[in-house]
Amino acid sequence: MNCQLRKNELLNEQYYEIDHDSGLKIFVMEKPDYSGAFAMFGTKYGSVDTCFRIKGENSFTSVPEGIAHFLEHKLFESEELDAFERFSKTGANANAFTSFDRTCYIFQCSGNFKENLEILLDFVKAPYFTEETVQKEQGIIGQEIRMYQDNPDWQVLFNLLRGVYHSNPVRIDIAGTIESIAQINADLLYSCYNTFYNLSNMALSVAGNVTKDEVLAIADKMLKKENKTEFEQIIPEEDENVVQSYIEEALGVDIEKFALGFKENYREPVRTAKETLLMNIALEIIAGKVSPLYSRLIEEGLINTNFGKEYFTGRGFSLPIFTGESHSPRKVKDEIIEEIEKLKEKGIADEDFEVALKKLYGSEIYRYNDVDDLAGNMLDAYFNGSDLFEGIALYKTVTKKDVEDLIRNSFDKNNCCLSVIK
Amino acid sequence: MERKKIAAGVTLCTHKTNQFKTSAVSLNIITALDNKASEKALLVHLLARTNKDYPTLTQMNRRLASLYGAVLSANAIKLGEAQVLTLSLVSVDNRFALGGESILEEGIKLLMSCLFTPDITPDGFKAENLEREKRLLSERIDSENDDKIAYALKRMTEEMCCDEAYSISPLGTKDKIAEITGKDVFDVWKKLLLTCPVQINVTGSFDEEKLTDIIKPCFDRLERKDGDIVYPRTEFLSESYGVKTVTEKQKVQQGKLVIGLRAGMTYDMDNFAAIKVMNAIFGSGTFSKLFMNVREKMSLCYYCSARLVSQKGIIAVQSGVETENTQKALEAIRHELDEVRQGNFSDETIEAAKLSLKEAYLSVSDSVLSIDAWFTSQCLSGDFMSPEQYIAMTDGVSREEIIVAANMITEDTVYILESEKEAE
Repeated sequence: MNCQLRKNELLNEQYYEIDHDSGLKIFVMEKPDYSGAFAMFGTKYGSVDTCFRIKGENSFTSVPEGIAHFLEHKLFESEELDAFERFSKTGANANAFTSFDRTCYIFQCSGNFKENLEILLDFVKAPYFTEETVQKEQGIIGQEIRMYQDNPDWQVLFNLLRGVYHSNPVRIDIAGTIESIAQINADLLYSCYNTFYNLSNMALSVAGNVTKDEVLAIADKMLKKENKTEFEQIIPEEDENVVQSYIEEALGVDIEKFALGFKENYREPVRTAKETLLMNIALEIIAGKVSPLYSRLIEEGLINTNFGKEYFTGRGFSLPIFTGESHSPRKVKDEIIEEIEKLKEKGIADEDFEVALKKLYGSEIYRYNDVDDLAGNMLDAYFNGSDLFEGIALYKTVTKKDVEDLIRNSFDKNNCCLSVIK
Repeated sequence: MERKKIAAGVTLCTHKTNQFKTSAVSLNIITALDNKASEKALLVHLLARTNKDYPTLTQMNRRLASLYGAVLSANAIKLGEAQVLTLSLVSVDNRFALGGESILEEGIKLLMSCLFTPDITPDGFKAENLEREKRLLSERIDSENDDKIAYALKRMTEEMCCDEAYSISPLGTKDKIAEITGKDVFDVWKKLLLTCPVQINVTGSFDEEKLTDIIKPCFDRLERKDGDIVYPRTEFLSESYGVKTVTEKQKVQQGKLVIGLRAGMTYDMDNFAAIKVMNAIFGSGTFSKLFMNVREKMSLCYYCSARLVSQKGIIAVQSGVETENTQKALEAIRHELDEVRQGNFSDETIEAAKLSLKEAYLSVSDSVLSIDAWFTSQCLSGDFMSPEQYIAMTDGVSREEIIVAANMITEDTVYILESEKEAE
């Protein structure tokens, strides 16, 4: 077992990174002044993983849309007490979520930590699926899908993804469709589980009022050594251009929602911490609250306080997005593009760069406040091939020119899509 | 966690700690939820957007950015039949200031100037600011209506409490907002400053004396008098006088079912602990009757839960269901409530409910925002109570008390949002 202590002096924080003998990567941040602890057990497996085979197998398996999320729901069940029933005896607050490129199982507790961690490691590593329990879940998830279909903020994003990507699986709804989940059966669930829930593809991250030794004692007890499962995936070729420049859907909303995304074409599937920081600075300068554009759009009545910007990235996709509500989304799009073109031509003012940097430095510090964020951020950084403290160290190294170059490369007015919900 | 009075009708709640990397300050104006709700909601948003020192959006936002991206926000919520107007500021802790400046003190000064020195003329709030804020608030109401879960809850509340102040939305209504003048908001502002209780919550690392030195003079200057301060009261209807059913149709994929129950309370802490545990067993948490049966066994929905609003003595059961299953879900929810009334739940379930409530109370101290919210939730009560005191109350609840509490519940209103799908 290899254990390293990583420190950051500015933040006065440290955490352990452990290569456990079982093959699992473990992160622990001890925070004795908190009353609770948060644990996250995750796998690098999400809705984008739709076609794969274990190395050596003859053929690839194509799975129905939404199966990673379905599997997440089903893992809570077991032959005896399901995981929720077990956690209800310890008082932990347990949950799980599936995103495009990962699935995570979590709990938060202020007592009985060791027992809770035992339950977490046990139920995630003990799949139990039968045809009956699969059928039962189709009703519940069917309603989850329906609920999201009525959520305009969710729909405007997925429509955007379908307007930007031709074949990248990020365009698929995370929960799938009522039709696609009807095709899920126990065998397919086991096939996904056996491929992606190998400890070498997973990580455990814990932050809060616990010690590294407590975590390791439970890991030693619960986890058997696993040989690494190697798998291959078919990643469809993606055209460089967006599918369409405008996509709309009518949901009968009181105020129209929009999302504007600029397609990027990187060869490497995952964005580095530096690329992410540069993009966040760029977005702040283009349309952050301190930008002239933001004030102008508010004063002109084109956006409201639900306006935002985000670098939407994960394994295999990266898309800077502007979202909001407006009575004229097309005008908002025109003004954003005009601002970007101006920045491309004239560059960024020194003062604007400094203000944006100071603001983002502040928001970076916010990420070190709550135990759930800490555990989540350690795991995210690892899955993205980075480490937790890389982000804050980068603030000293980025330059205005880096950001100007990025704006020139990543915002092509002829390769963007506007999605609108009416 | 501490609360003390620092001026007439002004209390300061503090939680001093080095645990966090950020601090939070909120300034809460506590007023009655009444026919001026729209003016008050508009006012608090106007106060947070600009002030005399920073009269434009860009100037205000640059000031916040210079405080390391401090976030200044406004909100108007209801707490029972009180409307709480909040100006809040979250910022990084002083120890991260690169130039050694006191970010928290600067932040509190900024909040004070927002409240006391808005950018106004003798005639009231300026037209350009007023019009902008009217639009932003109206659009926020539109946006809330577009969230069907929130919309259905709001509609149920309006129907259930149609003769009570609780039916009033704390953000106001679009019709009323449209008519408000700069003078109207100005008058409301003046009145609130002189007569409303104010609670200021501060969490983080700070010097309390310095805080008081910044805050206290601002209020003392106004010559507020204890006798003039008006504390809002909430009317409690302990039982329903019959079930009212309201059905609406919209073009949605999923129907919504919201049931309003009267919890048998005559004031906010009336039998509170027993009702809270009973409600957890009935419908909050994965061990609850609603989750285990209506969701897990019957597969009728993705969410089905019950929320106690102790400040008004009501419980709202919320679910999203296929329209064709509405009656089935309604009967199932009623059946589960009857099960609780009859005492058909195990000792393990009582234990699970108590553990889950305790977990929620214990975790309050682990986040700046939850500490702030805790302070605010207590702003109407005479005695400040800590989460630990709530834990002790929870522990003391017996099976018999839970059953008695469940039998005090009466069904009041059923609100159904039906899905009117287009012909396929």
